[in-house]
Amino acid sequence: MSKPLEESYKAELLQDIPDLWNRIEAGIEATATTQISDEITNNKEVSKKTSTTKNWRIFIAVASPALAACLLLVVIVPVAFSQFGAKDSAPMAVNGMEMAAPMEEDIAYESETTVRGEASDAMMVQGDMAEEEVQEDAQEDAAMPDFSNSLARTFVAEVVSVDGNMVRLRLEPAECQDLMNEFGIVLTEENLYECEISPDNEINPRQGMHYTIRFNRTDGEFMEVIFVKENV
Amino acid sequence: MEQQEFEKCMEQIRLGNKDGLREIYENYVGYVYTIIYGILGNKENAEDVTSEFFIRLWNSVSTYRKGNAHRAWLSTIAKNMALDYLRKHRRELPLEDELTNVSVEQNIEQEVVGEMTVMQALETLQEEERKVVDMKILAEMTFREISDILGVPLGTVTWRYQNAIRKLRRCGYE
Repeated sequence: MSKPLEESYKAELLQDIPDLWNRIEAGIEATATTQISDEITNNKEVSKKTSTTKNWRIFIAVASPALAACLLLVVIVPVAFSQFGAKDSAPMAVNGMEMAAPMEEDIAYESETTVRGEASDAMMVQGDMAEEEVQEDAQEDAAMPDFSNSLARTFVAEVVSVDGNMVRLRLEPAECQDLMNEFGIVLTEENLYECEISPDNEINPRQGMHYTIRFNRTDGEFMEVIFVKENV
Repeated sequence: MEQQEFEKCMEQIRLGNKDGLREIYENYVGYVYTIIYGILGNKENAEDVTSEFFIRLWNSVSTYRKGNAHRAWLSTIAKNMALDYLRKHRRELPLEDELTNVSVEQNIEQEVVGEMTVMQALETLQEEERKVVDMKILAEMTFREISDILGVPLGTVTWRYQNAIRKLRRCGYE
């Protein structure tokens, strides 16, 4: 005597399911905590940006007198030497001093500005990285699966004909009952459904031709239905 | 669970009351799990996705529209979540659960004795056949959906299913 496969299989499978409720409850609480920590992180990001701006201001405040002093050394000192020190020194020596002093100052200035430049570059890079991280986070958030999209359905339908933007699909009434109820799709006697698609609706993945069609509800919600061309 | 009861539970969830979710969980954990297992074919992963399913239900209660056939709604979401998981972890997923190398001869011998359990009977199937049976019987998918997911022609899917059913019939299951 034969035994019912479906019932036996399901019964056998259900015997092994552990109690998942504790995991679910913990998951719900963790989600709530994550939402709070996300808010904190966002606040930290804002304060991090504010502190970066503050650091810049401090840096400019400290560095500007030093830069001014360097400029003085580079421009005024050689001029002063050329004006007042020329009388007592041989021209070549003065020229040598003229040449030597600025060179040393230049090196000092350059090395200082290079170090500072690197530091400021590093700060800018850090700032950029922080911004990139924020952007990446935002992109990740955007990439997170939207639950409402879970309502998207996939149907395999024979594409009977394509005439411009008009597509005629053969559907199984039993499979698209909810579409018929919810969106008022009407099939002909031959189970044909005619709809308009734009070129953007048509995509060509590896398995045949797909048509993505969006059905709009009166309340502004929509459901995307992917019709997959059957290989005929 | 009746539609009205389900909607009452959803309302409770909307108000932040876990009892609503608990009731839905108790009524539908088996249904959701079998669908997800049917697609993933692995117990641990099916448990993970089932847990995730109820957490999402809690977090996304606002997406539910009253008056929908809730069972079909739950089934669609479970299928989509399982398929999404499958797409993301396709390369990491282990092979079918405990598909031991039970030889057909041995099974036929057991068939004569008539003591074969459903799991033993299913072990006589090839991996591809088992996948089709799981998707058809547990996940309640159409052959066309299965063909689309597995990326094999519709004819191959039906052929595998017929083969599987023939083998299972020989083991005493119909």
